Amino acid sequence: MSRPLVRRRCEQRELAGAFLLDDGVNLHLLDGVAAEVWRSVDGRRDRDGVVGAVCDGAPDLVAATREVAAFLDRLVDADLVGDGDAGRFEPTAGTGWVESDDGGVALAVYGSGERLVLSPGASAVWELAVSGLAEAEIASALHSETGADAHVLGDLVAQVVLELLDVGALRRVW
Amino acid sequence: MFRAVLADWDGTPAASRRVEVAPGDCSDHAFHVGLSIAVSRLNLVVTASASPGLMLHAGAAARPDGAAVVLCGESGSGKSTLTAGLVARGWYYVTDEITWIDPVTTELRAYRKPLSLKIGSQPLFPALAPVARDGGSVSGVANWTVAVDRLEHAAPPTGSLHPVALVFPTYRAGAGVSLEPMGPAEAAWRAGTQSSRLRDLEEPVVDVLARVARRAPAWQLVHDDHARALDLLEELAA
Repeated sequence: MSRPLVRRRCEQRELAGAFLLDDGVNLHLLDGVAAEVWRSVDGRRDRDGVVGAVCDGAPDLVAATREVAAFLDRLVDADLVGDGDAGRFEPTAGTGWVESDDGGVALAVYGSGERLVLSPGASAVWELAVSGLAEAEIASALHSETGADAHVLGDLVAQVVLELLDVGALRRVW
Repeated sequence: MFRAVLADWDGTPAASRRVEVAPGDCSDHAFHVGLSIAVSRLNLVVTASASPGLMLHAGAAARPDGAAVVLCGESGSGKSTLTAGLVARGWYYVTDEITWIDPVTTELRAYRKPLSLKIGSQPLFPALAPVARDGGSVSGVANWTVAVDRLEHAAPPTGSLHPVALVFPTYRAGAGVSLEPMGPAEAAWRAGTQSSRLRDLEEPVVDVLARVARRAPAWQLVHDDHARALDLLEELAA
């Protein structure tokens, strides 16, 4: 699993620093380290990144790393966390965009105030991402449409998606 | 041999719900065992027929102003024993098995079924022992089924029943008595795992549980000293 991601179907409420989760079948309580792991599973960090974020500043780094990795495994075993790279995308709340006549996309991200004008290639990625495709599916669709090298397209899509996630215009979902 | 009669649950005042048992031709011992079974079946019917709400596996008792202590836990945790103990100290009996909580207001609805006392707690309440039809004693009944009118004669609270403490008891021999605060997330989770028909709630389960946990402070009670545990519970509601 390269980028762990919370599954979308989970209802969650935070109460005094701990999380109450409902996956539709079972209730789960995440407190202490488990709550920190849950907060860090955002679909942008890879597994090592999650462990590193939670363990940052821990006095016993080895023990903390082992503990956090174990919690992450338990979240995966409970089917609360999955592989973010298999996830899909949706625009973040408040993000707006317009399309020009030539297919270009301009974005405005609510909150940060970020405004972007996407290149034609990035615009195509955006359109496919918000249509509900996963990363690999976007690359495949572009390959079918343009005939360009699949590896090159895969790298391009990954880079664009990462930038759109970083600016807060997209979020990964299941 | 036994006939349980249950009035409609929805909106029905507690006083009009009752179980009628036709004892038939049986021994007093068989009668009391059968009564216990009938009440257990009745609980299932009540659980299935109640309107959507948070249905905690919990006992509850209330002060005259309606402030209620809710005792939530698994079978054997001491719910009924502690509920009976509070009632013996003058609290109003709400229930010893199913506490129905309004998902919006978090007010309680009483389900004043006959109280069940398991064999381990019976020595604490000798006056509640089963009585034979001729007025004599009945021995060897593992689960006493105590009619509400034998519990107490306190008048119903004047105000609505509302939880002021959500307590999760654990009976542990030799552990003494300890009462520790519990965070709202753990309380909500534990309440949820001790609830029936959660999926029938009209809003997200986590919202209802969180609302209850925010409004009533929660406590973990470990006990093996009945009187001391009751002292602590009374202090919680004071």
